[in-house]
Amino acid sequence: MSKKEMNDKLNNKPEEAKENRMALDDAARVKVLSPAMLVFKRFIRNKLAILGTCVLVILFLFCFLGPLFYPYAETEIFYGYRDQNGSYAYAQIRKDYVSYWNPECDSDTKTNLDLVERMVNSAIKEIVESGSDSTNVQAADGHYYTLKKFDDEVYALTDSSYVLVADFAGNMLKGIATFRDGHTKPEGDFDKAAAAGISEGSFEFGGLTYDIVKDPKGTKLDYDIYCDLSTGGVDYYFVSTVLAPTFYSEADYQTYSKDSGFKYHAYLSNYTDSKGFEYGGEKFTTASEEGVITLYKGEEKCAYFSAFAASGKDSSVHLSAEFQQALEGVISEMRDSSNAAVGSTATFTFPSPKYVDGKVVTDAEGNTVLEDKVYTVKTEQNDYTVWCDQSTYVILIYDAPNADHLLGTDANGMDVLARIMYGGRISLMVGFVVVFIEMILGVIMGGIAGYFGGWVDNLIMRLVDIFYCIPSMPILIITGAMFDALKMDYKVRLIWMMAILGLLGWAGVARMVRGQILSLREQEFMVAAEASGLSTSRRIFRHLVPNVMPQLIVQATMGLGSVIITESTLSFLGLGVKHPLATWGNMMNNITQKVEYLSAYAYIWVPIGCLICLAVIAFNFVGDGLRDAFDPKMKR
Amino acid sequence: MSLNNNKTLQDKPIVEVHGLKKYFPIKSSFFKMTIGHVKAVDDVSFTIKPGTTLGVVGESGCGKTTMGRTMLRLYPITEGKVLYRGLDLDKLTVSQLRAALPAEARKTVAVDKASLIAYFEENGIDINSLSPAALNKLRPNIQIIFQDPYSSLSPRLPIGEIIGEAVKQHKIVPKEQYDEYISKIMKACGLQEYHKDRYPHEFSGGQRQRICIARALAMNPKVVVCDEPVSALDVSIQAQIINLLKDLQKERGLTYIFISHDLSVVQHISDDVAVMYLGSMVELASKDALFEKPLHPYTQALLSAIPVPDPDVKMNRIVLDGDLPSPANPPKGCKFHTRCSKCMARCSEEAPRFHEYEPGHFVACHLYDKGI
Repeated sequence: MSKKEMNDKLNNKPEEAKENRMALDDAARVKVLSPAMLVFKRFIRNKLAILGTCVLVILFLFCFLGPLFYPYAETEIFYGYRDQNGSYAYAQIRKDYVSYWNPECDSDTKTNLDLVERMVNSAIKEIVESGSDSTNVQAADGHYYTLKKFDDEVYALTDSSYVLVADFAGNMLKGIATFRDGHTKPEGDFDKAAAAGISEGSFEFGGLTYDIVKDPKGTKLDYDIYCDLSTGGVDYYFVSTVLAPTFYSEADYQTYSKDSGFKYHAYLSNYTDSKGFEYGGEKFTTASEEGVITLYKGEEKCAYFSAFAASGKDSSVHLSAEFQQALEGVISEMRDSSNAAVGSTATFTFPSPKYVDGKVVTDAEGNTVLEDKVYTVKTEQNDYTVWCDQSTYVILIYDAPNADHLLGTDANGMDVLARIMYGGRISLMVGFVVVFIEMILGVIMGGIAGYFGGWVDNLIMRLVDIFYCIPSMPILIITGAMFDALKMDYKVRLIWMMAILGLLGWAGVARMVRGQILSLREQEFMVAAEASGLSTSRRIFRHLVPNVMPQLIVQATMGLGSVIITESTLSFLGLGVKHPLATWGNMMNNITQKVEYLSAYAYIWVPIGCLICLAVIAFNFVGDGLRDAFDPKMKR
Repeated sequence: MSLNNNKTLQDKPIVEVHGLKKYFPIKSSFFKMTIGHVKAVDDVSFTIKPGTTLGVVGESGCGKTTMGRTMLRLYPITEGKVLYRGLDLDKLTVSQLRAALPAEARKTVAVDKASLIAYFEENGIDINSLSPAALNKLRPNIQIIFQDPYSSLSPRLPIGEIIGEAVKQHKIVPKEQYDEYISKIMKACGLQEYHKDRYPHEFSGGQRQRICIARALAMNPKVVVCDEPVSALDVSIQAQIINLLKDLQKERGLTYIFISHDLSVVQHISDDVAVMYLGSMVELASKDALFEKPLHPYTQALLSAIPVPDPDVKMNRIVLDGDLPSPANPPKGCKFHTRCSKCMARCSEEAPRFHEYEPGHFVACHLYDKGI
């Protein structure tokens, strides 16, 4: 700007000003300001008060308008997938023998074998102890079955049809004593033939071979006569073993592996010459590899036999054969080492499908992405459990802040930010309602005491003294516990709590109002009002109350902060506002279960703590600002 | 406003005070027992003619203000009568009027409004006999202007409201004329119409006192007690206010009781002047009589203290010794004898009568008692 321009500007200025000049007696010259306007002007000059007001306005918008724009509700619970360490599978080394049926056996036999099955384990024990290869097991109907040892841990039960037909008192040669039920004495000289065969232990009669066995239990010299009625050879009805086939691909062999007939054939094939069998139109072969019997379907390895059994925690978990082999290896290592006590653990890693949000991650070609996962094997009393992190569909409790939940979730899986908004509503509302109750009670009681004086004043002031003496915290804690005992509805409880807080707080207001009214009552303008013959109500409401109003407003604003603190404290202790209603206090109660939660879930309590702090400080700033603004002695 | 031209009223005093007493009890601090009384107003009697001004002078603490307020029953009256005439008695109901009748008149006066009002016009109505509700209805007729224009205005009401609220309550003018009426009153008291929406703190002391006067006048009073209305103001404003009061009196036929400790102001405004000392009236006379020929030694001392604006005139001051005695324990006999230059033996034993020494000149001093 050149000098000339500046001069021009300066020269022009007085003319502009001339137009705006006002006459000295202009009514508009002195701006008319009501006392309220003056207070407002003084208030907005106070920077802290303005700051406090801004904070409060923002808080109110946040709490009362925020939820309208925020997608989550106050008590909405969020679910999702999360890696959770849990039991994944169980494993054990079988000691009891399991049985598989020949699918072709008839129902009568099956009924019989059902009865025998219970005796199989003790019969096997007998075999192992005696070191023999087979033993007879008698069914309830007297039918004998032969339990034969096929291999280590593999036994077969066959219908021997080798039955006791008669008891024979041989020594005395008295002849056949009795024939068993269902057997009749053949025609001819059966007795003589039997007597002749005693020394050989067997004889033939009518084309059948009979065995004569000396009854070891008999006190007399008795013999039992057995006869193998069947001529058709050995028929395996039943295989009993601790080795179970473990299928490599559960999906492919599911139909077979559920079918005990398939397993029956699979066992048997290892002991037949052909080492193979046909089932469901497909051909399978068995082979022994490094001492492990393996089942092939064509060229493909489909199962191996093992005394080791592992199963998923439920039907959704399928354990692959590779996994089971790895697990078996770890467990046998544990058994070999001294690490076999109950409770001891071992870990191993195994490449497992990667899960994100409960779904298996696949790469561009559709192949499952694998990642190394750590599995922990724990020794239990009789078996082993496998633990690992699993992608589980759960309530998202204590979720860390993320894009969906800006402040995370709380102990109930509810969105912290949403609850802060709704909680702010309750906290602020409690503050306002309680202060309103305090003010109403305080103004009425203090007003009566101050205006009428005398014994009324005395009575009310003693009541105020009594209320001052009441320790409010214990009372609130006791009433809180009482509400708990009454199992009060949370909404009713909230109303009661506000009523009690209001009842406990009016005394200070009443005392202040009384003091103010006492001094105002003696002011000359009150005498003037009386001299004008104004009605009592007009004197109180037009002359006294407006003059008490400033102090009331200040007290109310200051009171708001402390009520919010009290409410938060109570709710934090679990004695105030109850779940599912959110308040700033009871939200912090979420993280009090464990000490370490305090640091772990700082994202829950830090924002809430800041908000409580902000609200209380803002209310105090505004209160201070109002007090200064109302004080006529305060200079501009 | 209409001037009250009732002939009979003109003759009869508008205010009659008979033996008015106001004692404030002194209570012991602990048991709240009354251990004595402050005799702020002790047996005061006087009358005021309508349309005149009675000036009341006296030292600070002599009971002027208390007397003024007690006359309006702003303090409960301990004893005595304050009779008023010419009040708007038709605002009261028959039962309120009847309740105000003195006991001796109960039987003689007929129970209808006209005869009751006629009785009260004749004998005056005792302010102490009115029920609170009835008193409130009559309040507009007897107004007061306070000494302190700062504390006598409610700080949270705009001026229009302060002046008008009682007008509204007592329905002094119909609703539709209300705004106009307030503006008129304000103009009459030297205020501008646009002041209506302003608040007391925006005014100077003089303006505030005008607001107080406007408030009192808006009630259309018959009697106005002016309780030192100018003592809080500087001299130039004092003149304005005094002249305003005089103009208003001329215009409306007001009766003033003008309380002041400033003799020159009283001389300027009053028709009659009363001198008070320690709660009692010591002298009452027309202004001229009192200033020309003061009788009571206390009045003489007071008048001698008026400064003369001429340096050459030698002032012949009568200086009073000592302080005003305590009204709780006034001296025996003549209350002034402790400070009186003409004290006699009789003075300390016998209280002088307040009697008419010359026509219209009352004095309470043994010097002028006819018994001497």
